[in-house]
Amino acid sequence: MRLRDTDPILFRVLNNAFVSIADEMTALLHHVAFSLVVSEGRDASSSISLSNGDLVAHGSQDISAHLGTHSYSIKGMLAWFGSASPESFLSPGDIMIMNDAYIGGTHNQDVRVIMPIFFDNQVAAFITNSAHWPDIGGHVPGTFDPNARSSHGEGLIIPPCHLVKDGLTNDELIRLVLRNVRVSETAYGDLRAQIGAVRLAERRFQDLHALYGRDLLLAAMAETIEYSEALMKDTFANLPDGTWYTESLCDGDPAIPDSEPVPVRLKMTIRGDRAEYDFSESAPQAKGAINGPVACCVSAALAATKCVFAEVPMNEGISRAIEFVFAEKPSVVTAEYPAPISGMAATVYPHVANCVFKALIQICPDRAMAGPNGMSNMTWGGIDERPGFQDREYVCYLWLEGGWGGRPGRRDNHTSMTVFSTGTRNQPVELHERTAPVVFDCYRYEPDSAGPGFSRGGLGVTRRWYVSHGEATLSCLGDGGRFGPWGFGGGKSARPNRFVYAEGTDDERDIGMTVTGMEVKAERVLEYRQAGGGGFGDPLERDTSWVLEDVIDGYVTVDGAFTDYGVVISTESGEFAVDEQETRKRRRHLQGDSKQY
Amino acid sequence: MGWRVGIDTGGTFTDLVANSGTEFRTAKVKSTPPSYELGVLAAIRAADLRIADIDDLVHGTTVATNAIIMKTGSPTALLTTKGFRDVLELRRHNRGEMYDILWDPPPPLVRRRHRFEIAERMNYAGQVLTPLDEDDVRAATQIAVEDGIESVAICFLHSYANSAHEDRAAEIVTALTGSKHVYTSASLLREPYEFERTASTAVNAYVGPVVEEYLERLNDSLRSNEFRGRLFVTHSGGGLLTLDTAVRMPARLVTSGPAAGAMAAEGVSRILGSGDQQLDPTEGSLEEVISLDCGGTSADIAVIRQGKARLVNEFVVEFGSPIRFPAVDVTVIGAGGGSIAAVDAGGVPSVGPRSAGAVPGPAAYGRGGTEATVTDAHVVLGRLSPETPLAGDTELDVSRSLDAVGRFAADCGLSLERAALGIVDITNANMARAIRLVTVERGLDPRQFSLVAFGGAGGLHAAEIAENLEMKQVVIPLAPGVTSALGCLYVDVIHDASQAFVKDLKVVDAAELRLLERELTDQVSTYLALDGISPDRRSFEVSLDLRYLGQVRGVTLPIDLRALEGDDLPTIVRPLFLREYETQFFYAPTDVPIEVAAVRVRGYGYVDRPPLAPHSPPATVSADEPSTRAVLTASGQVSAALYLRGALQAGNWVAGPAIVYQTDSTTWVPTGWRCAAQDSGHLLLQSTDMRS
Repeated sequence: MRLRDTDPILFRVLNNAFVSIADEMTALLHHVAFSLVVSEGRDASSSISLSNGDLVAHGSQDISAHLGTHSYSIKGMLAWFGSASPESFLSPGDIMIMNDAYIGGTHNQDVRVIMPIFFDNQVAAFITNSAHWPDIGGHVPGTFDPNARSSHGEGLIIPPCHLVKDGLTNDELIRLVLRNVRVSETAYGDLRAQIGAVRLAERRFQDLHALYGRDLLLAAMAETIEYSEALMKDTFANLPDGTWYTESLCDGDPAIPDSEPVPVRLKMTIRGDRAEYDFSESAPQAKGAINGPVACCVSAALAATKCVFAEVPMNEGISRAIEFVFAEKPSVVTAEYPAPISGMAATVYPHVANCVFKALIQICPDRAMAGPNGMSNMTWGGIDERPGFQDREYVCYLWLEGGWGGRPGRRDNHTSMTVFSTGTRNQPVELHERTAPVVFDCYRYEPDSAGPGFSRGGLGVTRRWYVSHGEATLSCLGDGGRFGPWGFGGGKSARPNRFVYAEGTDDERDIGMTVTGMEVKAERVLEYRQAGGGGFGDPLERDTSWVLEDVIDGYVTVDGAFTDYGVVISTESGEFAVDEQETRKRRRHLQGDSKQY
Repeated sequence: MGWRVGIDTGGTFTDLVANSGTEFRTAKVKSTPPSYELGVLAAIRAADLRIADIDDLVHGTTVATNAIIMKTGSPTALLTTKGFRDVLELRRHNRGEMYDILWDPPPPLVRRRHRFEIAERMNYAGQVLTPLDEDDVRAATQIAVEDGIESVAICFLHSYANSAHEDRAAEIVTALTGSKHVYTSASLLREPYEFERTASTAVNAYVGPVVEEYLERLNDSLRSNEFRGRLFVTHSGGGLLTLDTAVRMPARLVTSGPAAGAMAAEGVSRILGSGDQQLDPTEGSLEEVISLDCGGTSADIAVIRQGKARLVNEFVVEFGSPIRFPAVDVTVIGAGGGSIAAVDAGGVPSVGPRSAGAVPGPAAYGRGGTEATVTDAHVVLGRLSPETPLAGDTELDVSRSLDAVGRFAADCGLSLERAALGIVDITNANMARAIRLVTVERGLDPRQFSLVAFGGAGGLHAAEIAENLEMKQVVIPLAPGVTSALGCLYVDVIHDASQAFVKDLKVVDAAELRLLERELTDQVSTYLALDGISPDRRSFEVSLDLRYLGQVRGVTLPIDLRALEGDDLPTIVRPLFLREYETQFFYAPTDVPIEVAAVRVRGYGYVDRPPLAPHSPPATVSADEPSTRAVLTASGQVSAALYLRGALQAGNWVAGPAIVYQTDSTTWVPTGWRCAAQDSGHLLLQSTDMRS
C-alpha cells in the first residue's frame, strides 16, 4: 500500500517536513558559522538519509555537488566500521565527523558532520551536513594544491570518527583536527555550527516521530525515494530510445608538463524507462589532482540531470533510475585511494555535467542549454599586517562564477554560480576587504566573453584584486584555460578562462589554471577572467536589434558585433545604430565563409 | 472630537477604519488604479465621514511595491565605484530556482547602459585610496540627462565608513540636474554589503518619483476637499512617515501593507494583554501572538512578543532587489483563498503557490477560473455558501466549484469530499509549517502564543491551524477584512539609524559607544522633529549587533547604553548576548571572545492610538435559535450553527461546529472549539478539547 495512494495529503505534508528540517539545519549553519565561505558564500548543505544512507531529502537551497555524495558518506561510514548495522558503533546522541574523499567525501575541505536518529534503540535515519572549511591543512593556505601526487598532500584526511560518543565530546580529536588546520578558530566556529545544526535537526526529527510514529515515518521516507524514482522513470520513458556519445575535455594533467587534454566520456543510453550512464571510456586516473572518486562523478551526473528535469525531487530515487557503468581500472572519474582529488570541483564535476548536458541537449533540446562555465578553486592566505589586526592569519577562498549557456527560444542566459554549486553565493567585496588585507579593483562583466549564438550565453566575469599588506601565498586549481564553454547548434564557444599576475610590470606572469604556493607581492594585481556560457544556435541569425541592445549595454563591443554576429554598428549619428545594408553584406560574407568549412 | 482614519490601498480594494472616541467605522471600496487617490476619497465618503473632521489620516499604499513588481518605476541611473558597474546585476549570484536551467531572474532595476563607473575608492576603514574624479560624475550625469533619466542612485564601496565621495557626487548631480531624486547609499544605510546597499539605493531611486507624484496628488485632492489634518504614510518597519520623509526614503514604503497588518495584530495583542475580562489568563500569554493575514494569494505571518512585532534588517520584494531597512519580519507564503490545487506528474497533489488571484479568481467567482482553489474547496465543504455573500458583491457559484474540485479529485483518484478536505488540509499544513519555522526555528514554542488571524480567508483556517500547532486560542479582530487599515491606526512615527562599529567587546569604551549612540539619536531626533513630533512624544531604543569574534553574523540585542556605567559594559552585555544566542541557536560557547559589529537606534514619535475601551455594542442581539448549515469535516458531515458576527453578544460562548459570517470574512469554529465576542469587539476562539 503506497501512502501516496492511501493518503496523498499526508505524503505531501511529510515530504515538506523532511525538506523543512534540512532547511532549518542549513539556515542555522549559515547564521552562526564563522567563515565567510560558509556564512556568506553558503558553501554548506544538509540532508536526511535512510539508515542505509539512501538520500531522502535535502535543503531547498543546498549544493547539489555535496548532496549526491551524502549517501556515499554514510554507506562509506558503515563499511568503514565493517558493519551494515549502525547500532554496532552508534548510540543515541552520538555525532560523527569525516571528510575522506574516498569514503564518500568531496574535496577534503568539505567536512561532514553526521548524526544518527534513533527511534527506540534502532537507527531510523541519518542527518548529515557539509561545510567547506577555509583550510584543512597541507602545503598551502586553503589546501588546494595541484602539486599533490596523492591525497596525503591534500590536507588532513578524517575517516569517520566519533565527535561525540555516549554523551562525551571527543576533545582530543577536535584538538588533533584543529592543530592541523590554518585559521583554526574559524574552523572551530564552523564545526560548532555544524554540531548545533545536526542537533537541531535531530530534535525536529524526534518531534516528527512523536507526532506520526516510527512506521509511518520510515514508510514515508522510503516512499519519498520511490516516488522520485517513479517520476524519473516516467521522464525517461517519454524520451526517445537510443545511445548518445559525448566527451568533455579537461585542460590536462597538472602533474605532466605539456599534458594532452584529459577526456571525460559518456555513453548515454535511454532504453524504455531507464537510462544508462556509461563513463567507462573516460581517461585513466591522472597523476595530478584532477581526479574524482566515483561518488563525485555520480553526484555531478545527478545534478546535471536534475537541472534539465527540475521537477523530479532530488534524492536517491533519481540514481535508482540510472544505471552507472564505469571502467574496471581506476579512471579520472573513478579514482582510487590515495590518488589526488582536490581539483575535482573544477574538473570532474563540470566535465561530467557537460557530458550529461551534451547528451540531453540532443535528446530533448527544448529544455537544455549550451555549455555553462565551470568553476575554479582559488585560495590565498598569509598574515594580516594591517594596523589593528594583530598579525592574524587569514585564508581567502574564491570559487568564481561565470555565464550559463544559451537556450533555444530564449534571448540569452545569465551569470550565476556553476550548475552544481547553485546554492552558493559570492562573498561581498566589502566584507572580504574587512576580513583580509585585500582590495578588489574590479568585479564586473567582461564584454564579448559570452559565447555568440542566436541565443547568447551569459557573460563571463572579471575580477581584479591585490593584497594590500604583506605577502600572500596563492594557489589555484582551475580548468577551462584551453577550452571555453561549448556552443551548440551553430552557437560558438565562449572564450576560455585566463589568470594573469602583475600585468604591465616586470613580474608579469600568465599563471594559467593551476598554480601552487605562488608568492604574491603586496599591491601586485591579480586578474582572473572567468568564462561566459556557450552560445546556442547560429549567431548570424540573432536578431540585429538584440545585438544592438547588447552593444548599447556594453555586453558586446562594436568589434564583437562585427566579428561574432556579423552586425555592423555605426556610431555616426552619435548613437549606436545597426547599419542594415552593411550587416546583410557582412552576414552573407560570414555565411559564405562558414559554408567553405 | 476629530477622527483618526486609517486607509490601506491594495491592488483590488481600498479599506478604511476610522476611530473617534469609542466609535469605529469601516469601509471597503474598489481601488481606482492608476488614480488611487480617488479610491481614498471614495472610502472616506463610504464611511460617511467629512474630510474636514479628520485630524490624522494614515495611509498605507502599494504604489512603491507595484512600481517594482510591474516595472513601472522611473528610468534610473546608478553611479558605482570604478570596476563595479555590474554589482547590481551580478547580485549574490544565487538563483531563484536552484536547478531549473529555464529559469530567468527579473531584469535589474537599472539597465547596464545607465550604470556609470566613477573613479574613486575608499578602503574598509573609510580612508581614501583614490580621490573622487568629479569629471566622471559630470560626464555620467550628462549622459543620464540626455537619456531622460529622472532619478539617480549613488553607491560607492565602503561609503558606510566614509560618505564624502557619495556626498560630493550627489552635490554635483543635484547641481547639474536640479533633480530632487538623487539618493546616496550612505544616507540610507551605514553598513557593509555592497550589493544589498546598492540594490536598496536603486529601489529608492526607482520608486522615488512615482511615490512623490502620487503622494502630491493625494495631498492636493485631500486639501482641495478641506482636509486640514496631518497626513502620514506607513512604512515596512511598522512606522509612520510624513510626506517629506517618505519622498526622501521611498523604498521604505515597499511592503508597508503587510507591516500594517502586523501592526494591527500588535495593537490587538496590547488590548488583549491589557486584560479583557473574558480571557482566561492560563491560556497562553496574550501579548505573545502570531499574526496570520490570509488573503487571496498569500498568507503573511508575523511574530509579536511582549506586544512588539519582530524586526529584520532586510527584506526582499522581488528576487534580486533586497531592501536593507529594518522591516517588520513578515514571512509570506503562497497560500490563500485563490491558491490553486494541482496534481504533479506522479499524481501527488499540492496547493499553491500558483494562485488564481483576483482575476480570474476561484472557479466559484464565475469570472473564468476553472482550476480548483482553496475557496472552491470551502464552497464544496459548505464553509462558504452563496447564502452569505462575500465582500465586493461577489456571488458564489457552487456548481463551478463542484466541477473544479471534481476534476482535481479525479486527477488524484480521491472522492470529491476527500479532495476538498485535502486541499484545506494541505493549505493548513503549509501555513502551520511556516508558523513553526518562524517560532520553533527561533526557539519559541507556538503553544505559548495566541493566533490573531485576519484577511478574507484567515478565519476559515485559523482554528484548524491552531489545533495543528496546539495553540489554544485564536483571535479574529474586529473587522478582519480591513485589518491593514486598522493597523494604520496603531502605528507610531518611527525612524531608524545605524552605524557599523567593529570592536572586541572587551576593549569597547562605553563612552565611545555612547558618543556614537548620541550621534545616531540626534540624527533620528532631527527626523522626528521634521515630522512634527514634539520632544515629549519621542522615545529611543538602542541596540547592538553582537557576534563572536571572527563570526560574520550574529544577533541584535536591545540595550540601554545610557544606563550603563563606564567599565561595566562588557560585564553587562556578555551574559545578555550569551542568553540571546542560546535562545536562537541552542548553544552558546563561552570560550570565544565577543565582538560588537554595529549600533542601531530606533526613534519613536507617539501618535494617539485608538482607545482600549469597548467599541459600540451590537445594535441588535438575536435570541432566536440560529439557523444551521451542513458542513463536511474529516469526521463526516456535521450541522454547523450560523451566526451573524454583529449579532453575537459579548461574553456569550457559542460551541462549534459553527460559522460566524460578516461581509468581509467568514470564521469557521470546528467541533471542539467555542467562540465569543469580546467587549473590545474582537472575536475569541478557544479549544475546548484541550482544556482538561
